[in-house]
Amino acid sequence: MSKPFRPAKFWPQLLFVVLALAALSVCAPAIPALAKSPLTQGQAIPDLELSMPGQASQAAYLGLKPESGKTFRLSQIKHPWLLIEVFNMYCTICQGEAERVNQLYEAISQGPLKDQIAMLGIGVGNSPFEVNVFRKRYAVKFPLFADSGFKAHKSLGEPRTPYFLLVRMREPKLRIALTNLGPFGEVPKFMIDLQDAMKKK
Amino acid sequence: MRPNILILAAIIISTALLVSCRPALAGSASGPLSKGIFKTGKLKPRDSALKVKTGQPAPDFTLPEIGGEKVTLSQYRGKKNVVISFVPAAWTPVCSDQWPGYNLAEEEFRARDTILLGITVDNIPSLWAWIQAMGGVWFPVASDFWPHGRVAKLYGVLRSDGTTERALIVVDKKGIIRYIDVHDINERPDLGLLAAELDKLNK
Repeated sequence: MSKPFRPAKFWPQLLFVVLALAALSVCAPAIPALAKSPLTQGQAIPDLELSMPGQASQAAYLGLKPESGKTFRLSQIKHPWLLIEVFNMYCTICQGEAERVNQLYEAISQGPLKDQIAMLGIGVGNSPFEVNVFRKRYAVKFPLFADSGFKAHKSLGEPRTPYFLLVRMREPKLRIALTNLGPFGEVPKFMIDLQDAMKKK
Repeated sequence: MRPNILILAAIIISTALLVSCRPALAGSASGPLSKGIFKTGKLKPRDSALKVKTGQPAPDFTLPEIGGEKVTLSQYRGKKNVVISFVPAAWTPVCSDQWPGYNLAEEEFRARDTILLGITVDNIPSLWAWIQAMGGVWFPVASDFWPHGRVAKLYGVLRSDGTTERALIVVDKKGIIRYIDVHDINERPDLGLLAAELDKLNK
């Protein structure tokens, strides 16, 4: 004869399941956000196609020839490393960090990494007009590009903004050496982070 | 002993899951804003019947604004073009970055001799707290809370749930409606298109 079922015997297991399910149910609204997976360190990134910079000086900065077409691909950039800022004009964190990102650009473009790292920004969900508002408001000197249809954003795994990617350019594929979600903190510290990432194979 | 270990494990796993589910570090809204945004999910793109059209005089109204004053549409007649920006509700997605974007674009509005007038159906305290969380804005923000949505109803942008459409209405210096964009509530209008419409007024 089988023994009678005694629920009390299993209460620890039941409690385990109930608590775990309760935690999962509370998390449920956040799970879709977590399901998006921004590309991160070690992953290859697509050779994105962007509009040719309108200003000749910005095309020259990236080593591009404006007469070569209306668009270019990341792989055409001459520098061995590329730092991409994924931003949005409407994002208040991006607005708050704009001055610091400008400082980072100055530190890179005026220092020993000048010929090593190029910088550009991609305004996800922004029209060219909106990107230009951001550029003018913060006097951004590095090239900014509009991604009004979220095409680049989707290719990068739909990161939240701001998102920074350091990309190694001289490999068969463009490969991410470092990522940073949100503010990167003090410029000198982030410069060290960038240099450390560049040393790694 | 075994039950105690299971209980402990359950508590640890539950806690870990809850902590890991906090919002990501960065988003389209920051600081107090990022913590307070209510997730509405995808809404019916449009849920009202417009009662105004381009070429007609804009119905006048007076509303309380968060600074404690009253704002009247006709006070700008002969002085400024007006962009009336209805947004559905405070502390909701899209709205919570639409106005910070307009805040950044202050110079674009000023260069086009235009004032922006923000309106929601929230009450003054809620609206004030939301704007403070944005860090303040340069344009007047008015409350159409009571009688609830009276102005939104006058323009035909009050939705059936008591919020408003995400709508932009351009009124020229003569008080005539020159452009209307009742936008998909789930999406942000392109500021470039609005600027192009304002450029037409100044030609």
